[in-house]
Amino acid sequence: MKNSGLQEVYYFRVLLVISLVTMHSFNMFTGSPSWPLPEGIQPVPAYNWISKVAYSFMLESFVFISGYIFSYQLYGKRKEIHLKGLVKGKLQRLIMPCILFGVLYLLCFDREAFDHLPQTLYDLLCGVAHLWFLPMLFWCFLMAFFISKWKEPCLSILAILFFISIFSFLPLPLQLSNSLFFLFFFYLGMYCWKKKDALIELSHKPVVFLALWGGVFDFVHMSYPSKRTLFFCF
Amino acid sequence: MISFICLTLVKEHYFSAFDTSSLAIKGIMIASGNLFRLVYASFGVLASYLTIICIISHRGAPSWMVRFSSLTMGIYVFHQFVLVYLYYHTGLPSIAGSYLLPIWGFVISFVVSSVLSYVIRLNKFGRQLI
Repeated sequence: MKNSGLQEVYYFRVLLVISLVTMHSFNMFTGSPSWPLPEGIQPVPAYNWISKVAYSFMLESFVFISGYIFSYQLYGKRKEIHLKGLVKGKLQRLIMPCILFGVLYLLCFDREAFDHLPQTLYDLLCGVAHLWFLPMLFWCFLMAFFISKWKEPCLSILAILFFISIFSFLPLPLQLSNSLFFLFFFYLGMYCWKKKDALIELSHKPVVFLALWGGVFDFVHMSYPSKRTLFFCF
Repeated sequence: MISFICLTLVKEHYFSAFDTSSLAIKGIMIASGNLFRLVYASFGVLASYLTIICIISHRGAPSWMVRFSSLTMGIYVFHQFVLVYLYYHTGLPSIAGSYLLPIWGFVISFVVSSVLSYVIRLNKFGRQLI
């Protein structure tokens, strides 16, 4: 089997893409300005909750597995990665689809955008609609490349990135702000690949599961609209 | 349990007590929001990761999952095209109604984007793209 050392990535990818489509399918009920309710559709508060739960840690997990694979290539396969090759590869794999499918998206749903060409070109580079994730991931790869050259212990780097993520709301262009938030998860993925053996042992301890899924339950509790809307909406 | 109690208290009392007109308070609110999101997402990511590697250590990924995972980038790219078209450019909302529309949206967008992704990946340029 190809890449048999990364079987967990297959599970992650499939589960995450199901979460992503679920989140967008139910997103119109969250009151998001980019997903208004279609004509004749009434708000269903429980669906708002489904969308929030599907969204909860989905994007962070996508970034996590990107970092995990990057770490596998860097340290597992001991692949020699140079800055020039990395930039070229990621421009091809992330920025080119971002621009091509962005143009297609605007042609399909927002042709007036081409009347303001300079702004539209900038928007295309930032990622139109859901494609914003691709340039964000491009910066994560680049920053992680430089971080991987740094000889600090991994946990210190994780702590620094955690701190940076908290204050990542400064307005920076081309999805750089978002990448500063998500870089922590990218590096967490890199760290988890390095500590995979220890984590496999940890995964057999029920108390760890209870603690972690308890944290996830907290989110579900915090995100539901209200007791009335959740249980009596039908 | 501790985080459950703390976060509930914060949600119910702390955020609602602040005047959000001040710029500094807004900054603190956004930073607090980021902090909560980081904590939740870290719990979720690690819980999912440990669950998956626990499953993997007992049985590997099935072959259909390995094949299907190659379509995920394409599904990510195309599903929103299909959803926006279905929700805002067809009569599906009035046919399906409020309760069934997102379920139909999910099924149709998932199937159509998987097929599109499969077809595009049949050639070399498509495989490079998605």
